[in-house]
Amino acid sequence: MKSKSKLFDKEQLWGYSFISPMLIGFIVISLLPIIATIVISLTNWAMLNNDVKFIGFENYMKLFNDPLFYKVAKNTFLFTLLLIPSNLVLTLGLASLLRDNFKGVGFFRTAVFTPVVTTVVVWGILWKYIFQTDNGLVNTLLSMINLQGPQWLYNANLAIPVAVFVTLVKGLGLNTVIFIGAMKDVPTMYYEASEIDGASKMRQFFSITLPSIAPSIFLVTIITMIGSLKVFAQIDTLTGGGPGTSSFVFVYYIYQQAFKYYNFGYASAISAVLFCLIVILTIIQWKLRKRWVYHEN
Amino acid sequence: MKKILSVLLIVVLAAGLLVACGGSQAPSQTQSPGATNAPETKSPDQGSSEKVTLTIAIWGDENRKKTFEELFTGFEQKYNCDVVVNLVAYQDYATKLATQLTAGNAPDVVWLADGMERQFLESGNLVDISSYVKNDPDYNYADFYETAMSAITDGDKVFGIPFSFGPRVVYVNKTLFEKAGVKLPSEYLAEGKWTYETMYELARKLTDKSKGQYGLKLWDTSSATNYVYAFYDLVLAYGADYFNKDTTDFTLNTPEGIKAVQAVYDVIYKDQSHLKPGDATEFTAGTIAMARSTFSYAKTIKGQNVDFEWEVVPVPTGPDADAPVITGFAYYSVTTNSKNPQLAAELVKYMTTIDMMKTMVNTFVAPRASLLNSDEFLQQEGGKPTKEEILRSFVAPIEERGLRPYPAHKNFTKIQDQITMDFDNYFAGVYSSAEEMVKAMEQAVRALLNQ
Repeated sequence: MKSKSKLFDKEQLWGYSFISPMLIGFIVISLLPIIATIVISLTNWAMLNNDVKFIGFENYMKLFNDPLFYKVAKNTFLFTLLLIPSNLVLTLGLASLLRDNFKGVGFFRTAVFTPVVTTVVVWGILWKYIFQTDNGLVNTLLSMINLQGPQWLYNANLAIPVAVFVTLVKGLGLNTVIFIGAMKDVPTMYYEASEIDGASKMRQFFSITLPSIAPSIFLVTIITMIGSLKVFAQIDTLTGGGPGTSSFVFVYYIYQQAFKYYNFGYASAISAVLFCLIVILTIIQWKLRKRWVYHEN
Repeated sequence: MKKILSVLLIVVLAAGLLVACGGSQAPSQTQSPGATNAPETKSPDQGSSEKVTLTIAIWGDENRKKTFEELFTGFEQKYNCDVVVNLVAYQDYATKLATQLTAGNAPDVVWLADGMERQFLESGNLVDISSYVKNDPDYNYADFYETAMSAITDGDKVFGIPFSFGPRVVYVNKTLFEKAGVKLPSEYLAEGKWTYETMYELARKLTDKSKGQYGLKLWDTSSATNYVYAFYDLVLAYGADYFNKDTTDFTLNTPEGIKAVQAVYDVIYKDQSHLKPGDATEFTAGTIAMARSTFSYAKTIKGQNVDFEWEVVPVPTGPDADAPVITGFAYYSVTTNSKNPQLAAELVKYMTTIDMMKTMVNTFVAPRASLLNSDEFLQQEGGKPTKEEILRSFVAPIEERGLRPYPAHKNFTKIQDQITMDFDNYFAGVYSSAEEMVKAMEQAVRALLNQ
């Protein structure tokens, strides 16, 4: 019997040719840079330094003995841990409020979504003015009720929470829209049946809405987690990593090492570690999804 | 058919990869530091008759770009070439240039400042242009302050020409002083009593929180600041220094150094007469009595048509009344990537002649001795600052106390970041005292100096 190669099956081949633009894009824009980053992480390459040597895992050894690396990891996880739950709670709440078509809902949906289309740098600079110590909007409002506001962006304990808040407000709209879409897909008969059974609105939310939109919650959790592990522009514009190193996060540290000190080898090692972390966390979530995503096609 | 399709697919994939990778296969930068030779001294217009294009990278805004494009027309006609001006944001300038140099496509002529000059010189990316500038008596190379040349020369080799420098002066809102009935800093100066103590005292008097009015702004508080440069003249005035003479040791941990640091902290947090870090209020808003800034800030004030009277005085003196005037410099340099280094060197020379620097004096003050006493410099646009203000606040301190460049070290970027982070932490309350902060700074900076 003649065996038939699946790879060169005519239809398969057509399929490959159709996905080739995307495949080429993926290889050139993602795969090759990832491989290049891993290779560079094994060298001492510093821009302007032509004496490039292969140094094995030296950058990784240096990384694990670098106290700033642990601080950066702690700050990044703090950012992620603060952002994900607050984002989920707020966006679910907003989606529940904006799901139904009432008069003026368009205005509120637009208002919530507008920050999403604002440039992140402009957004960061705007909030920098709002959180300014003396003439900022927040502290001016606080002074009206005789309260003296703190140095929001120049306080080692407040810098990360403020950056989380600014990121949260900016990203609310996108997740809210995803949840509104998911909620609209939940068959109304479930709600009608539960109403007959005497379920309260709260009970309906926890027993019908949440389980039904679990795949969307899963998606939002993953994209928010990846986004928060890669946060950069907000930190750069709001605090510049400061005060001191109190708001240094992974990507800011990579940026500093690569584009300020030109330590591309070391910066690539940090990037490789961050890449592995994101992959591991995503795999863990993916594996766990079956336990908490009840409703998945 | 199967075969044809599979071959086609492979070709498409391979072509895509080649096209995408082609851009990154620029010639690599293989020139060693020792290879920064002078350009051949043949005349630029010798050789092929093909019209050459030179590129120059500058920072600033569109208006500056336009001004330079107009200035280059004379050069373009003289040498039958085109000069293309690339505008690069200052914060990205060093990174972009390093990337371009690595890729082998850096501009022919570049501007360098704030330590970039040493970085690119020591990595062998700049061309020696000494034969172009030293041998022409009309150019008068000796007119440049020696201190301005120290960072951009290596023995007899000259790797750039300074076109701007920025010792600080103090801008005074006379209207606020007159309203408060307080004697002006210029009057204290005339009495020989213009000291940091006096300035802090006046700042306390001029602060009125109910009006959002501050007495003092020592540096640009709006964004992350390099505190080494921001406080260097102040530290020297107090008889202290960040580093020893050879920049091999950190020396701020002395009673004088701690006093200088403490004084800055007190004026912000104890007296509350100074803007807090992060405050973006500008002197031009009219709510700041005294602001320390570079001489070129006068142009910004004039451009904003402020509705108050203002004057310029020198930065005050401290316990060390003879402390030199410390400043950074900005330079023109030719990169080793240039395919026309002779013509590029001519462009640098063209832009730094005394006549050209007189033309540019309202934008850049060049460290040429003859320029500082020229009518072009002393008679500024609109008569402000006045000749008297320029002489007393800019020229006299340099002539009386001398000029000193910011120190250089191979790890200076990291050292600056460390010092800035420690000051940041001090202002954020992480350190409980000036002594604690300076001690921590000493430990960290010494490690970087010895790396």
